Amino acid sequence: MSFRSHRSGLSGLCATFMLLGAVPAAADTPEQLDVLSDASAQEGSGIAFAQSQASRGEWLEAIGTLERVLAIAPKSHEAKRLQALYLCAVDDRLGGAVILSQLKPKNYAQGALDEVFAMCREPDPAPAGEGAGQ
Amino acid sequence: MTMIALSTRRFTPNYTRAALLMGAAATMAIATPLQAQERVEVGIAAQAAGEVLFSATAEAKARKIARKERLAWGNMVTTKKKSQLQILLLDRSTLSLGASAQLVIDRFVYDPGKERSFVGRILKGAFRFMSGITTPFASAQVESPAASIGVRGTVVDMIVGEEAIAIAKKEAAIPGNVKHDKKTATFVLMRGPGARTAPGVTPGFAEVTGASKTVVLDAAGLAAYVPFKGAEPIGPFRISPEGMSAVQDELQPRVVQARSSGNGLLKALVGVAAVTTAAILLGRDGDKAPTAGTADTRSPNSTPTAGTPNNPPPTSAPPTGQSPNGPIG
Repeated sequence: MSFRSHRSGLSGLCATFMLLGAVPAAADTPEQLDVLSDASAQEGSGIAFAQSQASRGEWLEAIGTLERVLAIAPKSHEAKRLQALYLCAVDDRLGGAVILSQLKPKNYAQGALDEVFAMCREPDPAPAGEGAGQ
Repeated sequence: MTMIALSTRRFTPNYTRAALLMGAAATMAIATPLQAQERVEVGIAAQAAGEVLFSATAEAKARKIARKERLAWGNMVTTKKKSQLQILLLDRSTLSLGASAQLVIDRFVYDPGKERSFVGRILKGAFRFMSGITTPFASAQVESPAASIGVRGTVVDMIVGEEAIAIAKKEAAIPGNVKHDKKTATFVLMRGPGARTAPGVTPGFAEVTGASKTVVLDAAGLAAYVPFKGAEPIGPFRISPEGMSAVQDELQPRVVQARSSGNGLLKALVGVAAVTTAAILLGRDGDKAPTAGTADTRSPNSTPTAGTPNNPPPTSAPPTGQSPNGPIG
């Protein structure tokens, strides 16, 4: 989960890591939820927080964090890139691909979208008759 | 008596046990007028953008919500145009509302490591439920004006009203002669986690009940539609890229607004091109969403395919002059 195209200053990163250190591993009080909300109250810290959640396998929570980031920073290229990446990671490949198809390469470092394409790519054809519901 | 003794205005580390006991007394609590009950906090407004209103009950006067506002049983939240809200529940489940949406939180019970249940009503607009921390017994029940949606450990999008009709009408699975009700029509889409999800999350499913029929959505991208109150659900069917894009836009009006802040016509064309390219990336015909049980022989878990810039999708090459990784616009 790279952070290649995200731009933030050193001081911002330091503040982010200090904030992340205070984020509880689990939440069962409103005060702990406040910390999660604060962590995503700004674009840079929110993106870093989402990445840390994804690195722990908390994919759905990471997607939720990016939703909050995009509510306040709807033009955030990195948040959109990670949103596509994480949706595909939880096998919402169509949802991820729709977002991916709206990204403009000029807004990203060369190769920054490769990871997303790789994640959204179908790994293997599914055997016929697999699954239910149809 | 027990419920009253254990409930607190602010959650403490003992809160969750209190909430569980209160859950056991839920029947009694629901039967009691809300004004007479203790306030049972369930989570917070984690993010509110635009004009978002809060009221203690569906009947109470609404006021503007603030980030980190405490939310409790019986509260109603309303988003206005171009606004959105995200609620975090105590188990870190996420409730997201798009623009012009309305949700009532009827009940939430959480006992860490043991049980979580959520009961709510989506009255209009777009809504997403995303399950939080895994617990052995986790359930969510969301009522719309036309359907009852049971959610088990998954991400489900729901749209109620005219937007649901607009999306449904473009899906090949919806017969052209279906009658729709603009106040109660309900569109439900399962987003994931799917069968090929990354480690750390478990695939779930959703059940959509209308009239006496229940439809199970057990794969990412499957949808069901209830056109009016009293109708049976249509589905499950695999949503089209256009439909997926429309659902996504309903849930993220701020992103749509930012995307369309320039030349409106040009941006609209870009949007169409993006969806078309997504369909190409996925190796499917964006104009056709196969109906369940029809000619589509693919498994519901047969997720779409995207290629990498250096490894294009095997089933469908982009048309001449179109980059496989290129956007679009």
